[in-house]
Amino acid sequence: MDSKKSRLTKSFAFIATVLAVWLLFVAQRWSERSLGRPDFLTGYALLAASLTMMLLSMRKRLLVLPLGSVARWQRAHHYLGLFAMGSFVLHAGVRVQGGLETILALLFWGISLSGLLGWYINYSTPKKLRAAGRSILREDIPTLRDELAKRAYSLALNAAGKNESACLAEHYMQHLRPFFQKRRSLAYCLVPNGRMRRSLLHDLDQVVRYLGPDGRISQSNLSQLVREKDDLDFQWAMLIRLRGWVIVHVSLIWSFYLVVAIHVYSVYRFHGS
Amino acid sequence: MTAATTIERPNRWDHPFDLTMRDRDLEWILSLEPFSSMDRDRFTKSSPLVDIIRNDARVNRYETGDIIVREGEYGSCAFIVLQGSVRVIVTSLPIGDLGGSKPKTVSLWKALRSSLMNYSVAEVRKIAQGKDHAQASLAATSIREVDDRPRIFLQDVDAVLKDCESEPLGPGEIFGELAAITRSPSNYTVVAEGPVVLLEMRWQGLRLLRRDPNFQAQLDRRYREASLKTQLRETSIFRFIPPENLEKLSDATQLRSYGDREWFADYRETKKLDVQEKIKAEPLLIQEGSPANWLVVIRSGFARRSYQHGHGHRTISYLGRGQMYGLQELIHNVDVGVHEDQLLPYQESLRGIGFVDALLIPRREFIEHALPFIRNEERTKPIRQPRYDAHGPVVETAEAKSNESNLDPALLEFLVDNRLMNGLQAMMIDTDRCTRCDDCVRACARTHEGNPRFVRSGPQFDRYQFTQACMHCIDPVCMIGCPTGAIARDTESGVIAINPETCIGCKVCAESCPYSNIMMVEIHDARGHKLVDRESKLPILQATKCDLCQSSPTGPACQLACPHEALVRINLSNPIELQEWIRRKAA
Amino acid sequence: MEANPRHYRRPDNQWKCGLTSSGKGCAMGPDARGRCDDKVCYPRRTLQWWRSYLPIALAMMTLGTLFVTNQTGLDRDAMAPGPLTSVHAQLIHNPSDPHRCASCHDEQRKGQPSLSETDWNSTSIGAHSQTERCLTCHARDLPRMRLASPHDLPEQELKNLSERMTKKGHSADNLLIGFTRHRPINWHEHSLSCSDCHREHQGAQHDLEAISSQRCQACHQNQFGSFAVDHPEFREYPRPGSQSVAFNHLRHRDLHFTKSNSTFDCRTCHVNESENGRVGQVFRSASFEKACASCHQAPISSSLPDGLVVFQLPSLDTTGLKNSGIDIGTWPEEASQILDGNIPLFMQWLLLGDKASASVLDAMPRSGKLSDFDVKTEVDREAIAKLARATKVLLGELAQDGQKIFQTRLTIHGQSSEDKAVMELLRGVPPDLFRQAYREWFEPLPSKPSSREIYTSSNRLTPTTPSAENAFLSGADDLLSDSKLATAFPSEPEGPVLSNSKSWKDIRSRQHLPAGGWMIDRQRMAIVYVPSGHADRWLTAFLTLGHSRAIESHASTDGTDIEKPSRLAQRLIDECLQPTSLGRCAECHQGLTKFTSVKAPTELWQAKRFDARVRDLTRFNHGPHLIQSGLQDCKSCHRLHEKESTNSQNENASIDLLKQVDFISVQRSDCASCHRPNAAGDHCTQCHHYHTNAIE
Repeated sequence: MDSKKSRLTKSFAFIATVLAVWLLFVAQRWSERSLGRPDFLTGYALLAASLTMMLLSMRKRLLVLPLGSVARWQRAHHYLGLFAMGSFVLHAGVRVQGGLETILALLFWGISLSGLLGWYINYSTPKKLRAAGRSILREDIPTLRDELAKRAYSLALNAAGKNESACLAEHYMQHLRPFFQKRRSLAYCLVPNGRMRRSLLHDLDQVVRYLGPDGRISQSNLSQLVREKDDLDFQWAMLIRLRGWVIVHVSLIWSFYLVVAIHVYSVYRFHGS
Repeated sequence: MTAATTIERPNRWDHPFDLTMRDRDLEWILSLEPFSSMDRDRFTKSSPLVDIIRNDARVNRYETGDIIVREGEYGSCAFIVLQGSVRVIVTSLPIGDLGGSKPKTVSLWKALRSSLMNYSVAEVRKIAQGKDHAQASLAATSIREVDDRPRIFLQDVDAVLKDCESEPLGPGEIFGELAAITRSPSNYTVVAEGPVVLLEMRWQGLRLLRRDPNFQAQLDRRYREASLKTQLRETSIFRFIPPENLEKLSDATQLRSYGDREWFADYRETKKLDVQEKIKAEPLLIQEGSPANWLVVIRSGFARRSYQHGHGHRTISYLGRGQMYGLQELIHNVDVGVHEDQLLPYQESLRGIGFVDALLIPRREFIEHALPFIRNEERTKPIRQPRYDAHGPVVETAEAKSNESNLDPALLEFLVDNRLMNGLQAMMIDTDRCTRCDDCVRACARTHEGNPRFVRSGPQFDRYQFTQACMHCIDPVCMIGCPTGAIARDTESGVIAINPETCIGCKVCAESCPYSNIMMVEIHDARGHKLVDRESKLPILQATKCDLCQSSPTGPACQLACPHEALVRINLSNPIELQEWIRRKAA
Repeated sequence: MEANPRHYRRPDNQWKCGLTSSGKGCAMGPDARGRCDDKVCYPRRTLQWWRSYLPIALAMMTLGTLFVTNQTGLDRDAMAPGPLTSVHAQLIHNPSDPHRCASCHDEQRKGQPSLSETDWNSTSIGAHSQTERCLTCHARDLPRMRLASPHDLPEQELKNLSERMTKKGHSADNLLIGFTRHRPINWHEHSLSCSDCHREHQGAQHDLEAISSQRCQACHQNQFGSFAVDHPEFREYPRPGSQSVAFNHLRHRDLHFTKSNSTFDCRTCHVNESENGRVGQVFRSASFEKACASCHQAPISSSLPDGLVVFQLPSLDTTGLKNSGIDIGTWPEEASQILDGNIPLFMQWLLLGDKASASVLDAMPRSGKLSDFDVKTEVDREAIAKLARATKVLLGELAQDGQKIFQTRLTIHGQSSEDKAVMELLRGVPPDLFRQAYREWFEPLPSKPSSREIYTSSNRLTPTTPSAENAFLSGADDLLSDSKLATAFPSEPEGPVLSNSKSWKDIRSRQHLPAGGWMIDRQRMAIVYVPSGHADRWLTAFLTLGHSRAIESHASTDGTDIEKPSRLAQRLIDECLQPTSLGRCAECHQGLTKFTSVKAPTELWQAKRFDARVRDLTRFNHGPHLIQSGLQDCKSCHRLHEKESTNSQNENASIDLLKQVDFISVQRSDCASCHRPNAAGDHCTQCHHYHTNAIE
């Protein structure tokens, strides 16, 4: 699909979505006026939309079916998501009363917002990743981490061998070891930053003054390793985010449908007329 | 769970080409040419002539009009006429006459079931237990194969033969060996005129047979003749040349091979070299600035068109099979009509990438016999700013000449250096779109019984990653040296697939693949038990690779499954196509 | 990452080998259940594992929590889509009651929204069952509430209404579309239910009665944007009620009030702080005492002094009769000069009540004056004689049998319909006065009247064949027994006898009865009723009866076959119309002169008052409006037809006061000046009831 053409189709699809929500709104008003059941109208539109969105994961499994590429389905999924949010607002309004309804609304918005977040992450992260260097498979990162740790360790060890720069080894043991051994915190995954990198490198530079020529070499190597490790961690964080939002997005889904089922059931049992 | 099923390690010739071959037939075949005249001492103990024929050959009967070899078909067998005669049709027939058979796809239902199935263990095989077992099971299959292969035949042989030019082949003569050996599609169609008996020899066997010098010589002769004519004929701009001129042309043409036919062996080493080194290491076909006396036509393999730029060489493009070099210079010299000693020399140098097989047509013959018959619109334009003239390099007029597919030269270099231009169905991922969701890998695993057939990593240029999935190369080096022919190119689709029935896990293909896109995997039986060799107790491996989801009706799952349209299976041998895709996706 | 990986990565695996990072991991890694052939294997969960099991886990948790809350009964309020309005909440909020939802919701399943006792294949609650539940409490507010019928009105009534309005010129668009073009989507007969408009569970402060105009427009055709623009123009609002008293505001303002230069203020008559009417403390009609008496009391009472002659002895030329050989027995000499006088109306009615005496009236001359009898002719002499006897007998009977005889005589051949009117008329008629009169006139003191006469006079008349009458006149006397006589007349009362009746002769009725009542007028030899003033009960009853009888006459198309009683009634009415008439009733109560049937006699006299309990489609209350300084002047909305004033100059302009409407209808613009969306508001329900119990 041509990039220009795609932009065209995108805007068209978006307009179509807005139009659909508007139509639903009109239908609701009409139904309201003719003593209909607007809530049922919007409710079922919402249900239909969310069920259709569920089909995406089905499609990903059943690739043998000749139903167009997953990319198309994904796009449809996005716009349906927008539509669903619109129709939810029409259906339940912004502030919701009642215990069950509140839970339902929370679940819905949980899913929707994680979806929007994911939309953004999917859009932005790949470029950041490319900036971070050669793309690495998430599965390989532990291996690479261990390798780095080993290299750093041996480097420090060798440095310790030369008595002049035992302090480098000490420094390693005190400050760098945990950095190389452990993975980063969840907080870092959420907001990756260069704070630790900077501080570690700064500390390493402080050590220089106690080092002889060989020591300095190994020191610079060590700081190089620090950079590599930090880059690795950065990629790790990025990849975790790319995967994490999906997990959040899908994790609520079954609870959502469960509550929906109860909601629909009780509506049918208790609606006035 | 630790219980492993032990079996006998499969050996070469465990699965002979033809089980039904009886000793009597063998006797008879050996009594015929060319085998009768072969020197048996030339053959090694491990593979005597008899065994070669027993295991790597089979006898087939064809009726009048049956098509034996189809033009453009990837053959893996040479044919030796034992009885009757066949006709080699050199002019190409409309494909309708040849009848294309559909690619075999499994039923939608089966595909559906397998994609819905949850595989607790990957790579389950129904591996034969013991030889007799194997024969029994394979006998069954080989019979089915015979039934399966529809014999397409020409309705009215004589009519067809009348209007097209064809050469007869009698007993003892051989055909199809070029296609078999050079892993290239056949140049001609062969039809049986009257009932014939043929010996089909798979190319592994053929290579062994070359131990016999006469046979070797015969092969080479035919190699030159047959292939040469057809090659010239195949060359599009020559298509209007009358036969007699073509005759003259082909007589004058020289055929040269550059580099090592098994280029991939040392490719791994050269890959590590610095770019300039690499180019230096490449066999030089034509030095820029040297007098333009030849028209070069690439027969097989690849050649790099480059020119001196600074201290290095800048690649303009790479020439694949059938493309030619020097045409512009030659035509320029004629059209501009410069004086004999003012002729423009070659503007770029031509280097072989790995192995190149080229035709050299002398300038005079070309101008005399060929040029008059080249359509004007097919004639190239005169060169305006020559990089070299008769006196040597032209100073400072040489600005970077943009290549045909105004593709980023760096990318071009990258493709060549990594031999990626070899790929017909390479997997390319736009890492700016790819969210690393691994849906492609999952999709692949689902369509291949729970194990993916590629690794989502590989050489990366700018934002484009050339993923480690089989590229179904133009020059499928992996097929070289497979003892059982388990890895073979599908005759219709050109897809190269490994047949798990006959793969013995010898790792030859995996090791010969320059892109290491073939993986050896441990295999399990239906109960999920790892299969282990009876003697060595080592797990039994099998080679696996991307088969382009031949079995699935919807084509490559990876491309279909990508939610961000970041992944594409693309033909890298054609820079234009690549350029197209990049232009479209650059958003 | 190694340059060329030796094995595939399998991101869809839920387990990975813990050893891979140390490079010792096996190629395949653990299987789907996280098991591995290798002796030493540390399977680790992958993100994929979480991706596939976290949703299920969370769903389980949700289910668990719901189940628990449901078991502990905490979920009852949780299940509600929102809190009830405070009014309902306080009624049914009893946390201990597990079934309190059932007080509004589905019954058979106890309305407890717990999954444990769920019957999944149950249908939803019918509209009715719930509306009925509403009505268990609200029946009192909506007495005539019909289940699910628009405006609580039966379909027929709605149809009629529609037609009526169309006749009035409303475009059919405004009408109920239940009976016009389109129907609400879920409209099958009477499917409306309370919850269609009154939505519960909207929060404690939610106003259940706040109905959006949208709701009305569900059924009503033309879509109202705003009251000011889209509402149809009022036609004669306030609706002119059926007027019974001819009153013309214009004339009173311009003529009468200006003459008596007194201020013409609406409030003096129409506002009554002491009670609350339908439109607040403002009333359409005012009482006579409050509104009219000040001017109209005097003329009425001045017309009464001589009172109404109920019974009168005709004065006969007794001597003349004697000479011509006709004996009418004793006859007071005060009434024995020349042949003169006429028979009062009421007396005529009484005479009419008896076949024999009825014939007497027939013989009367056209004019009804006795003086027009031709004494020369035998016939007339006979007639006079008959009249004399009939009169005597009548008085006798009245004297003897009292009101009973009135009743029998007034009731025309058993018309029970008039009974009420007749009884009303009887009330207060004093028989003893008649006896007194009889004594004075036909048994002059001290001489005792010959029993024979009385007997005959009283008795002989009862049998009604004329032949027998003649026989009696020929005088066969000896049939009487003393015993009867004794009963007929008790012996002389004791005590002082007012000997000289002469002294009473010159009593004028007014002076005698200033407050009205009955008396004997010896001047005129008559029994007189003097009305007590405005709205005198006996006179009213008399006129009512007369009117109702007159109607009958009018009911019959041509005057030919009008019965005598009706003709008499007609004459009564005609007399009322005389300017000199007694009480001058018909001047204001012009209903008397209209011969259209009236449901209740009161309609003849009193202006109709609207019942404050009736809920019409439209409501209005002066209260909030009169607070507005601008509106305190009634005239700002209620304007008179000024053009009237021109012909109001000549008193007897022949306009039908009952028909004519002297007010211009209130204009929509009058209301629209305030009733705008962001001012006083212009919702349909501000002025219109949905729940009505009558259409007027």
